[in-house]
Amino acid sequence: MSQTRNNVFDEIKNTFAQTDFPPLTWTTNNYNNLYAWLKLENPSQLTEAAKILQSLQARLCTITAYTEDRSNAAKQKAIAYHFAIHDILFCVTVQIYDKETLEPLAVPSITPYFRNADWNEREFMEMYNIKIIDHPNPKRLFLDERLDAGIMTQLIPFSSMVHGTGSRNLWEQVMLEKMGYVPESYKAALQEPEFTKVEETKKEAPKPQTEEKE
Amino acid sequence: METKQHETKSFSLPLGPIHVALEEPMYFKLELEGERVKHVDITSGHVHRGMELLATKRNFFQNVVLTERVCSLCSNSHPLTYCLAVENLAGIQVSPKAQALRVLAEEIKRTASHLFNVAILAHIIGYKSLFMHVMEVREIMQDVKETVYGNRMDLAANCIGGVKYSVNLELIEFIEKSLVRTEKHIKEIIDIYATDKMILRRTTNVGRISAEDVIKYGLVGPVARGSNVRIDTRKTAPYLIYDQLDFDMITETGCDVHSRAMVRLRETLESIKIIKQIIRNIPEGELNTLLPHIPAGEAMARSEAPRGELFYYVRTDGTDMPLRLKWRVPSYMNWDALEVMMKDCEVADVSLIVNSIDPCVSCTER
Repeated sequence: MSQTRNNVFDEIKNTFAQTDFPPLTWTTNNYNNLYAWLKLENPSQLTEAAKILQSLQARLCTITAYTEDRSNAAKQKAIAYHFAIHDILFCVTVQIYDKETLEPLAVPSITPYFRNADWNEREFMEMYNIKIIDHPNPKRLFLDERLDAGIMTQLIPFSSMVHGTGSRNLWEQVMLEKMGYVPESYKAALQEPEFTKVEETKKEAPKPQTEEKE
Repeated sequence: METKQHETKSFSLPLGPIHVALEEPMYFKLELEGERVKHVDITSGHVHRGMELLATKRNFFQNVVLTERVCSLCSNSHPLTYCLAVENLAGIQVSPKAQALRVLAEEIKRTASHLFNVAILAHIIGYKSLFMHVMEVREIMQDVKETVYGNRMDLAANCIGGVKYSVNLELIEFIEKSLVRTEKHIKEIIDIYATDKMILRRTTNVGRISAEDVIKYGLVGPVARGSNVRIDTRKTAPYLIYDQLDFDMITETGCDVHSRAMVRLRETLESIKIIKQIIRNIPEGELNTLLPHIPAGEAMARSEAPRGELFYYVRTDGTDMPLRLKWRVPSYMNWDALEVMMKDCEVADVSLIVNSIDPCVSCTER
């Protein structure tokens, strides 16, 4: 490790050792890049963590909101805040739900400490329907106001969106009929619709608009 | 003789999202006092495609293809950084040969991308002959891409664990010859951008952003380096074989549109320097490795894309699809900082300032 990195590493380690936060985890990769990981116990600790990271001259790289499992209806959301301090990447993770009731918790804005958190927080507010406390500019970033917050956590299959399922049902009906099997549920759908009979009237040929001259 | 006092009128001017002066679809609501911009309000989201959600429905292999399609100009940086993140997570070793070939692809793309941006600058200020000339020089690098990779934009060079291509002696000779041609032209172009009165008049002291604001807004890439802030992931947090290569981090002190253009132009020469070192000494070894099982966990990775630091975060649950894949491109912060760069500028300079951040909206909105 270079001297500068050693100093930064020691400074981070010593600063966080003096707090009540859980201990940091350190990892490295094949290129000798160093990563620090901090897991907060609840969102109320975020402000304090942001304050410390600002004092360490951290740069906010980005913020990632995510659900802890694949279920669309997952209530267990969490946020990972990614910082760079010198050449070290520092990730702060916090679960934003009550551990017993699974009810979502609001998250304090870190924009007073990191100005570029503005767009990141606005993005996860609309994409994940996360409540932010004291955001200076809480308007939509990408999504139109008319769309529900959190809509991007739902997968709407393209076939459903364009009514492709209707075509699939019709195709299945045609194939079943060809095979000589018509299930009860399809019989009603296959019956010809009853139309009101309209007596055909013989239409007269339209008269020319201009009278022919003799 | 009576002189009439002209009142300065305040009004709003909508610009975009589709406008002939804009390279990318973004809506700007400009508050003007006469010809001066007093405030800018940015509305984005016109090309939001939900790609991050889509990435969680694709397996790790398929996401290499998906991430290459986030953007065309930095299309190589996306799959590269995604692969770096997955490799960090699974502890996959990439051979020195594959690392060298990854750097080669990155620097070829950077040269073409930077030339494209400075060409657009000439186009915006109405210097059509210079625009055509720079685009013609860029075309040499486009030919290199097409010849080596078979494609002008999406190179398909990366895979998890290495690369999908190699270069033989014939290709190395072709690259070398192309570099000689490009380098000669770039030196002339740098001279033009540094001294031409028309360029200097339109770009100097325009779109200024101080080093303090660069740090405050978390800016990266040529925008930061144009304000003398020394951030270049290749130097500050080296990855692949960048720490073994001889090249300089380019900075300028003007903090304006001109400085940002000069950083990009001078960086193309550094990229050429890197490419020359790579092709003269490509190590022996495997191109890639077998894709192992990707364990549950999380990992971060970053690289220096043409526009600056590109960041990837991957979270996995032991299946063959990521639980979450997030990327943040340099343009993301640069858009936000336009409110500083455009403060008190003239309306005629708005498109020039937007171009100076080398914006990529498809990267930003994903």
